[in-house]
Amino acid sequence: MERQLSKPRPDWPARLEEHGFLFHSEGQSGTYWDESVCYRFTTAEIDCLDDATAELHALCLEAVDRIVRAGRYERFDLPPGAAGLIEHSWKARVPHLYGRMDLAYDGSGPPKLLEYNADTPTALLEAAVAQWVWLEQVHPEADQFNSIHEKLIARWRAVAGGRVHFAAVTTSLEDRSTVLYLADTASQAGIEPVEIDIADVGWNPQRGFVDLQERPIHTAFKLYPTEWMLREAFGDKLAQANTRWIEPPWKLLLSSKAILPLLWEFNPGHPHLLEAHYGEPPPQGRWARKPIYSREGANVSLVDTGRTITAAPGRYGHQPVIHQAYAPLYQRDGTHAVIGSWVIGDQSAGIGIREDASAVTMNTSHFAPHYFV
Amino acid sequence: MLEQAQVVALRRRRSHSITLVLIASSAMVAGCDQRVSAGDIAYHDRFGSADDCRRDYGDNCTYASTGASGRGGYYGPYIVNSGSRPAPSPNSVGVEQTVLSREVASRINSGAESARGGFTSRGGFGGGEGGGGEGGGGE
Repeated sequence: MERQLSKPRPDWPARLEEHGFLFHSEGQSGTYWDESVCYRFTTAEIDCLDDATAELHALCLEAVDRIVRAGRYERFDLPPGAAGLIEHSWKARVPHLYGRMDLAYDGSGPPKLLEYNADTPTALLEAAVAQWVWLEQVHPEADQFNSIHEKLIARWRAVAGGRVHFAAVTTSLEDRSTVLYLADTASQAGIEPVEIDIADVGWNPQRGFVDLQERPIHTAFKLYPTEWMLREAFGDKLAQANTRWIEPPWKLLLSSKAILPLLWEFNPGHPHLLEAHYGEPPPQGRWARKPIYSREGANVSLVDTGRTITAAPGRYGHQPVIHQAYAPLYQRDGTHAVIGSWVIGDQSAGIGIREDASAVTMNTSHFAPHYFV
Repeated sequence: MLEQAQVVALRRRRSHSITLVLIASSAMVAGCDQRVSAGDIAYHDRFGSADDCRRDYGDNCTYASTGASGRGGYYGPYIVNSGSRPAPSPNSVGVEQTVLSREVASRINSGAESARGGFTSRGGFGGGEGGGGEGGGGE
């Protein structure tokens, strides 16, 4: 694994935009997509990431099953009714579409799971499409760990048919672009996609959730966290309606950091897991303190022998926290890199890399493409 | 017979280029707004008290005297494009039919007058701050 300088294509913004990647220069830094650097991997390193992702996903599914069977929801701070939805969706094996694991990996030693963005992951269009187009133009002789696009199309064929609504906060360019890309892959799987803003989803006592044309919403992909939906005005309608949501409610367990201590409890010492605990950290050592529903690294802090050494701001400070053993990220030239490893259906499907000056990856991060030889 | 390295490459590299259909054509179907016209039939729930109305419709209640009798009452929002007379909401005393005037239709279309499609209420999701995705660059 090596961070390399790379000459940007002179027309890179236009190249990205013609594939629907319009938010390449968003974010606080003004540069989200950064092709002035790239990452080079060996085949053995890619094999390592591929295998680790598949193994971790299997551990996660096993953990969900154990949690549901034992009713161990007490650490997830669930709103009323959530446990029933989770159980129902898991026992019915309501299918899921995708997820992204964030891994700490520096090319040596086993990749370590930092968290599993199993409900509403983004950085998808850039991983699936933008970096592939970059590869074809900049490193046509090389390969890339990236079969996200065709696996999404195949997965859509397995999980849905007919009309599917795609709900998101459409005023967010990034979210809307992500949903539009997912709808594109669904369309290629024979699905009729209908876009709707999440706030326009209607509730009709006779027809359940409906769109703006009053048509029942039978299947909906939502780029909107399940835990938010559960706590909002229509939260109590989720159990009444027949709408099938993608991702299904059981993915909430995996997307919460509250899963991390349970994964460790179920698989102590596993090479791809980090020791994790609820509540206060052990007195010695370096730990990452994470609110259980924090997003974009908000309110994550690093604690060394009881002393906070880095703290990210945010609005999740009131939530219960877990402490996870600190795993150093790959670090070069003043930047830290986290591997976003994609799972489509139950298959490992590729990676994307985000860099940040901070050891906590936040929405200030840059996306850098990769290749392997 | 493929060499091991070729097998690995075939496992990960796409055999075809990426094709984007909707992004290229902007062909995704979006839900459309409820538009109404003067003369359209609409309905609204009538309530015996302001409290009953608030139980079903929150702040979207108005007091009005209607018809030649000047009979007053509390009303929920207009129910438009429902196709047929909707069932009454749980705390109402019944559903009344009305014909939209040009002025009311204009207010509904501009959003100044609250209206519901059938018994549909909206805005029950989407109260979170910012987008719902996690992991990209924008907020």
